[in-house]
Amino acid sequence: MAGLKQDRILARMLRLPPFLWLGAFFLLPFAITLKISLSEPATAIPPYLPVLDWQGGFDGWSSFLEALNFTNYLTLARDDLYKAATLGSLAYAGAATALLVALGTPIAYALARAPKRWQAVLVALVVVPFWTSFLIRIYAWIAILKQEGLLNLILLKLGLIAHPLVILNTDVAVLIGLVYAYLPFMVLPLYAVMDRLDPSLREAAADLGASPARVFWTVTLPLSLPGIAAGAALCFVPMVGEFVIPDLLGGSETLMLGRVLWSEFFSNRDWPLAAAVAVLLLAIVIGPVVLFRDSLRGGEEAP
Amino acid sequence: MSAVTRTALVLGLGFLYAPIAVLVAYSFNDSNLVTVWGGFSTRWYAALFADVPLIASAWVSLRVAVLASAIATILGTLAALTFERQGRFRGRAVFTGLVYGPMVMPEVMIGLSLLLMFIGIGLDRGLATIVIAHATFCTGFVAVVVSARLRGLDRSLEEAAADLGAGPWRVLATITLPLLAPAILAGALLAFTLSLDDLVIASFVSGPGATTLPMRLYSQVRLGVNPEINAASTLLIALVSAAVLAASWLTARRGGT
Amino acid sequence: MGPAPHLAISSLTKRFGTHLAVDAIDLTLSEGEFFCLLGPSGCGKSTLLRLIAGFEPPSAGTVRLAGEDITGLPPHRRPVNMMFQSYALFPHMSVAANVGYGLKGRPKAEAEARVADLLRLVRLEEFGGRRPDTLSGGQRQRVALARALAREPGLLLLDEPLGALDRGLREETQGELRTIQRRLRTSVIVVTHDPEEAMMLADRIGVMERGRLVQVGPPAELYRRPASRYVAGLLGDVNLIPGRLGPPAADGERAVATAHGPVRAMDGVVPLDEGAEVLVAVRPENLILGGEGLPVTVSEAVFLGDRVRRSLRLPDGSGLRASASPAEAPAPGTATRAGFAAADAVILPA
Repeated sequence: MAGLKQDRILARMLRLPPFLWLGAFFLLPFAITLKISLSEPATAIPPYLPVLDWQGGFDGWSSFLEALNFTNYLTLARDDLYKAATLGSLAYAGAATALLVALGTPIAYALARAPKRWQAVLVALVVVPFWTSFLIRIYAWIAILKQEGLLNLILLKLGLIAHPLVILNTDVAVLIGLVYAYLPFMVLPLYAVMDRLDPSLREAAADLGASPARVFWTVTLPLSLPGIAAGAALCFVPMVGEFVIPDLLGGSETLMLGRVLWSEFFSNRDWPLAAAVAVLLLAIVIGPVVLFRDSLRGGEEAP
Repeated sequence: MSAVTRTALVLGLGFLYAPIAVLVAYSFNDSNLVTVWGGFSTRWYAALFADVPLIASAWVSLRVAVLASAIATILGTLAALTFERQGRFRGRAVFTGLVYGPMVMPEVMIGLSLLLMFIGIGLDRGLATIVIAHATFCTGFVAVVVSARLRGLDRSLEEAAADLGAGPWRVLATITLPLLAPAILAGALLAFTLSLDDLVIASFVSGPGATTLPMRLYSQVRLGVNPEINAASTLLIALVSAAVLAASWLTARRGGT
Repeated sequence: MGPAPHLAISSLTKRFGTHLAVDAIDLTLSEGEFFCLLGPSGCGKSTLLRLIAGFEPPSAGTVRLAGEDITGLPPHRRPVNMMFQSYALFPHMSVAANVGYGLKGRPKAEAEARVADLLRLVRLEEFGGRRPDTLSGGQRQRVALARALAREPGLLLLDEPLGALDRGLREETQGELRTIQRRLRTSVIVVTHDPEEAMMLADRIGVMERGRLVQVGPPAELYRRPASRYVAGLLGDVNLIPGRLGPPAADGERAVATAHGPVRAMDGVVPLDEGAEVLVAVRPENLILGGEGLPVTVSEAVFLGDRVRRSLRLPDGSGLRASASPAEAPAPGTATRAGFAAADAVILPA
């Protein structure tokens, strides 16, 4: 748009508000978190030391910088709890993502192959759960998965099991919860990609003698890989820091960084350590984000 | 549709709606036990409306969502216009990171860092801080939705307007924004939902008197299964389904986006 | 010298990265002239149009309109209006609002009257309240034209305006376009890849190849005296006979020695030396069979209604095409001679 490029004032005015807002409420807090991760806990308000004395001048700054230390990071590195939580976060997110790819691909494919006039309705059906409260839907799984819950009720009644299964508060429940919650995020970008595939490619393959299964494996699936990558990235990254699902559906041995951060902050009141966990979480997440930068932007189409 | 794809679809949708079906069914269960069906009853709906703290928290959530989504929609639309209509400018990479960063950061991190900042600058926590936090993380989502539509918009329309004598402001106001309106609305709705739904960030940055609905529900859920929640969920689901139906009917009437 | 040019383009250049889209073009247009830019896709003609309209800043060169330098002006401040290939009608506005968009700032009554006049001009008086998506292709095109004319621009630019229309509609619209243009005395530049369209509409044609203007002139001149084989081939079917150029002559008619015998042709636009390798360009309709000329065998005859197109084979296997009225013999298989008047043939660089 030649007009906008030439009119710099308008351009600057357009990007200034988001720039300022996000600089103040995203970048600045992050810098502060970093700083606090280098502090020590204290029984004070705020509950950490050192506190930067803005009025202190140069002396204030230098004594502040001297007091910073890396104790918290050493704690994170040494204590097995945090190693386990890091591995746990990656493991849960990884396993759930793999399951999502396996389950989401057939669903997305089915959506894309549905008759046109039904597609809008079906997509809306996939979307509606997304718009209803996340917390509530996870809570519903408690009712289903607990020992006196619906699933056990049905299985016992059908005679498929003799004793109630223990699913709630285990890893399995967490995986079910993760897969359930992030399914739309996997299905919708993948569906968008599959829907846009040129149907004549499929038809040409069939014309050359390929069975529907072969067409899927050799034509549709390879061409849909960007959509799969986008969906996987869109799911994996937030899952690493997930808190609600492991907290409600997991047990005491379900160690994920999100929960660790929460308990450090709210239960132990150790803000500096919580801040260090936050920085750690960020470090873990940055890698996949940079790797999948383009996938994320391409795949993120709102339900 | 082949049998395979039909099965996949049925199973998939079944999986998605199983918990919802459970909630709706049990919201009418006279007994508060999952294992016993006590008969059809609406007592939990009555209890819901008598539950003052719950209603108060819903009211808080609503106000926060309206304000936060308004701010996020404005900021997100401005960001989208910047991404799609401005070429290179100094700091574009930083700008991109700022807008899309909050979308990928874990919520615990956003919540914690904002709280630490609010304390650092001495800002009292309450409704305002939740609004600020929600607006911050929702902006990116709005930007994504509006950007996608902007990218698909025929540039020649804006060029034609300029050719006919409209300066950049007038092109924006009379051509670009009106054609973006459906996407801006979609973005606003998305931001509204995300704000209503948020538990983690609100928990970090809220203050006395500013308990949101998810926060209240969470504290209840930890205490045990409460059938009132089923009633609340059912109402919410009914509301959302009606909204989605209305939206698709509107889009269909207009002849599609 | 005539009156000052209405549009004067000087050394206009546009580079996209390393790709040179428009290469130092000079062009002048007089007022009320109908000019066609002709060339295949990728030759730079649309880029040149956008440079004139102001949608791309030039890498070098200037554009002057009615004496004023408009090179630095953004599109909304140039007294130039463009009709887009896709019409670019605003989908969220009515036909009347589209046509009146450029009239902002004028008193309401005046603007409304003007819109009504324009709709009458393009024969869409009843369509003011309709939305663009309810109109046919031809109707949308007329709305786009009316909209572009609303501000009475001194220069009107049309980017492949007739491409989307079917044949009958296209011819009808071509006629309308010229009628309207003559009535309003607007200078017009039309960009097209269709040589027939260019020849039908234009006062002058500018042929573009790879960012340069290779020849500019009235249609007849370009058809009969192309400057190169590229221009010759662009404007219609042409036979190109290779040979060696003979000595220069006073009246411009020179001998060329071909592999099948000597022929005579006119000097082309580009001066060439004796002994140079050249091509003799002869249009199929100018080949005369049965008299003197090069020895050929008729290999195929295709009946095309008003003409018969015959494929001829020369002794070395290369082919010629002749186009004549059906009354003239001969039939396929016949050996005969193909000749032409020197005045109907042009010498081109090889």
